Amino acid sequence: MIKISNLNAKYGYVNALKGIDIVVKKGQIVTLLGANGAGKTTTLRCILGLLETYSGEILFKGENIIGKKVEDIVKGGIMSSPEGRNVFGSLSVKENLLAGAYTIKSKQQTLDNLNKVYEYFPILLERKNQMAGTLSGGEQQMLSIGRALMGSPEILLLDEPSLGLAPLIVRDIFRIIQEINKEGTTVLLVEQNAMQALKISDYAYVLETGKIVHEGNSKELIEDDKIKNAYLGGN
Amino acid sequence: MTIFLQNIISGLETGALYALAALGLVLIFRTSDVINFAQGDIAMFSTFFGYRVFEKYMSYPFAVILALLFAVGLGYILERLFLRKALKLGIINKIIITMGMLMVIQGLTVIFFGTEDYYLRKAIEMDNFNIAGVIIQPNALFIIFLTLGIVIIFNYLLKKTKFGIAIRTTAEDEETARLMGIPVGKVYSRSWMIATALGALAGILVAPKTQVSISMMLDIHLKSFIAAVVGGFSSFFGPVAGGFLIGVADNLVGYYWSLDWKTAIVYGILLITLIIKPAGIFGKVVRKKV
Repeated sequence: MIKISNLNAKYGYVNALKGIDIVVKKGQIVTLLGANGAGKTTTLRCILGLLETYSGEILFKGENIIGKKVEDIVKGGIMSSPEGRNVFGSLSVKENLLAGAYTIKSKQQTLDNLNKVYEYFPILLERKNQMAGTLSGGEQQMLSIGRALMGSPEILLLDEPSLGLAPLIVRDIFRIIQEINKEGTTVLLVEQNAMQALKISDYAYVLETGKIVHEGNSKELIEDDKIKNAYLGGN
Repeated sequence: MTIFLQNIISGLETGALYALAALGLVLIFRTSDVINFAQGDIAMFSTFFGYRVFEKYMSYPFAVILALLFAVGLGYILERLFLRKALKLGIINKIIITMGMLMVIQGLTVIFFGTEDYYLRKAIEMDNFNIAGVIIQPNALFIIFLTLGIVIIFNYLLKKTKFGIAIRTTAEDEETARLMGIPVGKVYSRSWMIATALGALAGILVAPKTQVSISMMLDIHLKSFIAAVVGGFSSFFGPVAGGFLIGVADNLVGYYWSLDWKTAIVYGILLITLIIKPAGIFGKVVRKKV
C-alpha cells in the first residue's frame, strides 16, 4: 500500500531522515519504533505532505505522492491522528468527527462512518455535544482516532496514540486499533511503547537518528535480544 | 424615556456598521492570521465603484450588488496576490503588507475616482415615522436588522455547514485542519471575499452620512478594530457585540454625560475593561499551538 524508498528529510540544516526504506502492505499493522528524535514523526509528516524539504520516493497505491498537496494526499485515502492528538478544542465532539469527514461527499456515508465510530468508541456518543477541549486525555485520543476514521481511510497513520495515557486506557486503545485493522484498514503506527505496539503489529522498523537500524516481523523482534535491551527495558 | 430610546436606536445604527466591519476583520484574522489594515480602504474603494455604477445606471440595488461583487473580487485578488505567498511570515510582516495595500488603494482611488466627495442615497428613502414620540428612521431600522440578519446567517453558516466547520477548524489549528483534507487555501480566500463584502456593505450604508470620500471609512475602520479588541478577537461574535456596544455607549455618554468628553469617557471605560479582561469581554485566552 505504501512503499517508501530512500527518503531523506531535513529540518533546516539537520538531516532528520537519511535514506530510509519502509513498506506497508495492505491489511497490515506496521510499527515504527525509536527514541525521541529518531525521525518517526518526520516520516509520517513526509507521507502526509507536511514537510517541504524532502526527497526520495513515497509510493501510495503505486503512485508517487511526493510534492502533492496535503489535501490531495488526504483525499487519496490517508488519514492520521497526529502526535498530541490535536483535537479541535472549541468544537464539539460531533463537530470534530464531522471535520474528519470533510472529504466524504455523501451524507449517507458520513452518517454510516459516524455510527461506526460511535460503535468503536461509545464514550464519544455519550459526549457528542461536549466541547472536545474538556475531554480527558484518553477520550481525546479516541476522538482523534475516530476523527481519522471518519474520512474512510485506506491507511491510518497513528502518531503515539499511547502518549501520556494510563495503562488501562492504552490497552483499550490498542485493542480498538486491532479491531479497526481487522475490518480492513491498514495501520502505520508510531510508538515509543514498544512492547504493546509489537504485540499488535505484523511488521516493525526501528529508527535511530534518521536511519533504520532493525526491521523484521514483530513476533521475532519481541524475542530479539538487542531490541529487548534497547526498547523493551531489558529482560 | 423617549430620548433614551432615541439614543439607543441611533447607537444601534452606527454600532451595526462597526459590527459589520469588525466581523470581516475578525474573520480574516481568525482564519489566516492577518490583521487587515486595508479593510477600511478596500470598503471605500468598493463604495466609490458602487457610486460610479449608480451614477451611470441610476439603479441603487444594481449598484449595491455590483459594488459587493467588486469587493468580493478585490478580496480574492488581494489575498491570492499579496498574502498567500506571505503565509509563513510573521504577523508583523503581514500587517505591513496590508498597510502597503492600504496605500496603493488610496493612490488608486485618487487616480480612478478623483478627490471629490459625492453623495450616495440612503438604502431606504421612506419618511421617518413616529412611535410614541420616538422618531424612527426606516433606514436606521433597515441597517440594524440587515446586520442582525447577516449575523444570524453567518452563525448558521459557521455552525451548520461544512464550510463553517472548515472555517472554525482552520481558525483553531490550521495544520490539523489540513490533515482532515480541508483546503485551507480556499478557506483563506473565501474568508477574504466574505470580509471585503461585509466591509463594502458597511461603506455603502454609511455613505449617506459621510459622503463617498477617501476618508469615509476612517471612523468605522478604527471603531471596528476597537470593537474587535473589546469584544474579543478570539470569538466570532464578540466583535459584533463590541460594535453595537460602542455605538450605543457613544450615544448615551454623549447625551447624558458630556458631548465634549464622550470619546475620552467611552474609550477610557473600554481601556479599563481590557485591563480587567485582556482577551476582550467575550474572548477566551487562546493558546495557539505551534
